[in-house]
Amino acid sequence: MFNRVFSRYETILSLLQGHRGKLLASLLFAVTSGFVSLIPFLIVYRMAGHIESGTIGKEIFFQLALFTLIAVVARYGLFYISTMLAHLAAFTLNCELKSDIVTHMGELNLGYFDKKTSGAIKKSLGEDIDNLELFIAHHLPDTMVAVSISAIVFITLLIVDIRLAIAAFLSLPFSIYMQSLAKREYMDNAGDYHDNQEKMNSIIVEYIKGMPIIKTFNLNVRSFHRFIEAVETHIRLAAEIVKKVTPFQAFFRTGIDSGLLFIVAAGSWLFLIDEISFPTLVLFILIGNSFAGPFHEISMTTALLENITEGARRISHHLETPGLKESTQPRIPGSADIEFKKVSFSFGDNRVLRNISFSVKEGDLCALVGPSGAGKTTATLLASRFWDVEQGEITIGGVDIRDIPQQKLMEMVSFVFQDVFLINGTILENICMGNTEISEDDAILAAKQAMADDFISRLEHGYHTTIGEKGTFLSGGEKQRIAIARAIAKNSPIVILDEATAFTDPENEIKIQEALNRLLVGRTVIVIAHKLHTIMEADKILVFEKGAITGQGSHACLLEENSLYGRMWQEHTKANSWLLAGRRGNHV
Amino acid sequence: MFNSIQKISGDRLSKIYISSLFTGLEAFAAALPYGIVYFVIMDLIRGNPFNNIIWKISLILAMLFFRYGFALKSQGGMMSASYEVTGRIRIRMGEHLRQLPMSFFAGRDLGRLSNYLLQDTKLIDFTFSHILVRAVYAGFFTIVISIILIMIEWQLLLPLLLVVPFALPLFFIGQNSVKKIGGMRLDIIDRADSAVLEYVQGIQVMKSHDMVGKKNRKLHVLFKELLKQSLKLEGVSFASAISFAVIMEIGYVLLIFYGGYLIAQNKLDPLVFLLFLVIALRLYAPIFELYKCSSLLRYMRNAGERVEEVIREEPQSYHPENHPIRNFDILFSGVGFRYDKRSTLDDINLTIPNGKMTALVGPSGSGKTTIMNLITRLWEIQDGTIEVGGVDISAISPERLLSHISIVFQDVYLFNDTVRNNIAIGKSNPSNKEIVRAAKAAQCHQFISELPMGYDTVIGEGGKSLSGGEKQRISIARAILKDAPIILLDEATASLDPENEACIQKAIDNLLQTKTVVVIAHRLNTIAGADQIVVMDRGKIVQRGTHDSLIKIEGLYRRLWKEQQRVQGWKLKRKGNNPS
Repeated sequence: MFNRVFSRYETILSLLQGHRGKLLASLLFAVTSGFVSLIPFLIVYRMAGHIESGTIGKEIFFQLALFTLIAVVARYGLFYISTMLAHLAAFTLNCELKSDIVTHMGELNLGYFDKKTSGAIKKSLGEDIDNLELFIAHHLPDTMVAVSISAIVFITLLIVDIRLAIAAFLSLPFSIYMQSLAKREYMDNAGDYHDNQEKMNSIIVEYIKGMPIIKTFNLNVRSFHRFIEAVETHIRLAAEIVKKVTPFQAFFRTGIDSGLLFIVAAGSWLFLIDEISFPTLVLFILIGNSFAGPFHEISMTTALLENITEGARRISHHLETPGLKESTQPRIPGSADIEFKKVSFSFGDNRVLRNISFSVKEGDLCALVGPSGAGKTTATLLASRFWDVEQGEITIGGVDIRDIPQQKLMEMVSFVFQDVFLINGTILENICMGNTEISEDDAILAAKQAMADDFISRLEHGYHTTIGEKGTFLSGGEKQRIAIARAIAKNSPIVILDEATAFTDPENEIKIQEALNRLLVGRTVIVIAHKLHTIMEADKILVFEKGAITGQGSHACLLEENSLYGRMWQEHTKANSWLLAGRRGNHV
Repeated sequence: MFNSIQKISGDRLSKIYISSLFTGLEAFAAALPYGIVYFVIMDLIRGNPFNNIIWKISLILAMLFFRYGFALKSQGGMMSASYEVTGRIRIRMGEHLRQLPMSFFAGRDLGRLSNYLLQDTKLIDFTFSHILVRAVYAGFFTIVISIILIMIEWQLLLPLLLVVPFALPLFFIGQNSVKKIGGMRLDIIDRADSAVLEYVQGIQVMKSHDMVGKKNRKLHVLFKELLKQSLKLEGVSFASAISFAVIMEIGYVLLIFYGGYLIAQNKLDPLVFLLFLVIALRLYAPIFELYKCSSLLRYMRNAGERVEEVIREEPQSYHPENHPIRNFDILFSGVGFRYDKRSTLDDINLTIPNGKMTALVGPSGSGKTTIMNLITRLWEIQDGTIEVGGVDISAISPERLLSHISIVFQDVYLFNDTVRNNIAIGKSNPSNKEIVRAAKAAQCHQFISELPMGYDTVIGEGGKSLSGGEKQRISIARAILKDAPIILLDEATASLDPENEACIQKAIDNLLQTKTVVVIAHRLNTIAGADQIVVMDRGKIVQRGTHDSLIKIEGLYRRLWKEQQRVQGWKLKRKGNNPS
């Protein structure tokens, strides 16, 4: 059993490396402080001895008072040192683990960060590490103190008088049994409760996020019935648990503290028949039930431990996830030619790309077209090593991208996608993105080329305007242009572009179009295309269908040769001539 | 905090008071035996008959039973009452939030707002079910023990009380430093949390700009700063807590001195003093418990304050005039609106005729969307009036006004519920037939039928499992089902998902039949057939008329039209058409 307990702690212990000394010292101080805290009780015990023997005098009181004073100061002094050491270890660990995880994240392949793992990482960086901190700073020292005090009290009482000790502990097994019943009762019902709580949480989040809809469709907490249902179920389930658990819990609370009754009853009897001395009776009354606390402490900590070890396991899992392998013989590509050679890739069992081959010459514009889900986006993500290919290889300038140092590869490729990610900072920071080599003038120049300068300079603080939560809110088209400025400033030879970007904000369309045109000058471009007329002049168009390339060539030649492309072109021209006046058509 | 919770939860708090009373009684039953022990020992020492002792011990036993009974009522009662109170608060908050104008939500972090309903109410729950119970118990326990001590020998209490004036300032210093440093620490936690969130969400961008790991200085600086503040907070607040404890316990040292002095003068029975010492030791645990609870309560109070802040926001009011709405003409007279510097309307006079299509045209920021928002009264105007069918919209209940309006905008929000229920919100208790009919008209019947569970497929929050175009069509189906006489439409909706554009266009055409339509137009050619085109620029109406009339005269409309013709022909090509 001890092994099992130990192996539970193993993950935590391994995370604690480097702080074990501090923690051990903290525990030592804490336990010592716990022992010292018993001294006042012993002093009263001594006094009882003096009173019984009639040797009580002024000096003795003076002595005892002095001892008490020393004990009080020592106890709290030690406690302070112990607490600060534990907190130092806990806070430092918190800081280090967070730094380690974010640093490690930079080494992982980007494909690792899907919705699920991002959520798990966020959980680890928040809750898991914080729980671990709490455990080290509070639960661990508290439990150690509680346990060691209990142990020493228990042993002392046994030595002083075994009969009275048994009386004092009489109710203990029952109380603990009741506590375990309470716990079992809770466990049996907690599943539903927690499930519903999670449900309630997400419904409330939905309710707030969907507020415009809630309002415009006149929903309220009642007609948006899931809200009220979840809240009421929450109340009901909680009440049920409380009802089931309370009898046992109340028994535990009362029983664990009932030692006094048995001590007084048995003690009086033993005292009357001269089996125990007066100081012994006093000692038992003083500390006979001071081990009630530890059991609260221990049961709380074991309940938490499960949670904390699970969190610790998650933390080490993130830290141990292997990062992208850096090649041992890194090579720097000499050109920006891109080539896919028989590339295949799957997400789990789902084969997304099958045996894809194509090449883009430096400075060319290559367009990917096809229905959604055909693999266009995946192909562009593989080119920048979001994931590693399963089969085949991708080369840039003739070098397998797995041989290119990651940082170099990232330098070579820029993305302009529909969902722009802006960091919480100033516009200038967003254009420079941490690159200190870009001067403010260069950044402004980039913004000018991206057609962003006019709206930026109209803002109150210009380029130093903070955007986001507490700052200015930008429209979709404005964000797009900042993203384009960012890419221009980065000045990478390869640009991967989602052409729909240009249509995010129809009003700013013309500006975004111009900005894009400037960005693309002299670069190798891969564009995911939706509006076919925009890519009519591409050097090469690749038609994607169910993960394979079913045609490649110029617009004119695909129109003739590729039936899917022909169909898409037809639909596209039809949609473009839409006139919003359906009812007019019917009426006129 | 209790006041505001009282306000929200009404009489529910009485349950909490009753439970607190039981908690007090429980503490009473737990503390009283120490008084009885005093008499038992006196009996023992004085050699009183054993019978005297037996009934006293029975009394201790009885107290155990009482205590169990009170514990049942106190804990269980408090917990279920607090769950009920927080449940009511959640419902009340949900209902209240719904009645607030959108200006309340704009510019607020929705994540934080959800926290008001979740974390903060949970904290309130915790306050009642855990902290309050502990505090009440400790408080009563302290009082009962003190009374016992007074009855034994009141003068001996003096040294214990003597230290209180010295300890209390430390208590307040501790609380204040927690408030001050704690506030700074919370601020850093907030900043670090959002930096972490930003980092995880934007890892792709971070990586592509070499801002990962140690190079992201912002993160590491924040982590270090947090470490510093945490240590500072703990160091200061714990130091004051420790000093408080030391001074309180020095009272005990003084007590020993004082007792020794009295005994030496033969003014005190050593045995009485001894028992006093034994019982007085019981005072310290509950006093420190109270200290802990009050620190926790202070922290909890913030949660209560945040909840209160939301509740204090004024909901939208209206002055009911019960005029019938004659038709669905919409009339703006001298309307002015300011939200921030970027979207302002000034002296807008506009008639949107019943049953006709009015298109709003103009550069971004010119106020088109604002006009839409004002019609729905999601936002409140500052000057002028808006009438629908001759009735001022501020004289109609927001619910009734909105029942006449359907909105189809670009960002669709779908609930984490079945497709059916997502469409059904358009109408109260629609039949299955009506839902399918609406879905068919919105061109979404086919893709819904292809989903694994058809109309009963649960779509993720925000509709993550559907494509943009599919989401759009579901939102159109909602609007068709609602069948409101006024339709507000953002035409860009139609071009959101280029692959489904044709379907959405057809769906919209079905929606617009015979309605009063206000459309925000981006592609001018789609609204060339509108009955009225209103051209806006910087919050003002600069032109109005039909396409044919506007295109003939020099002005913003003609400029926009020409520009659009150019955009339509745009081709991605760097060499040839690089604009100079």
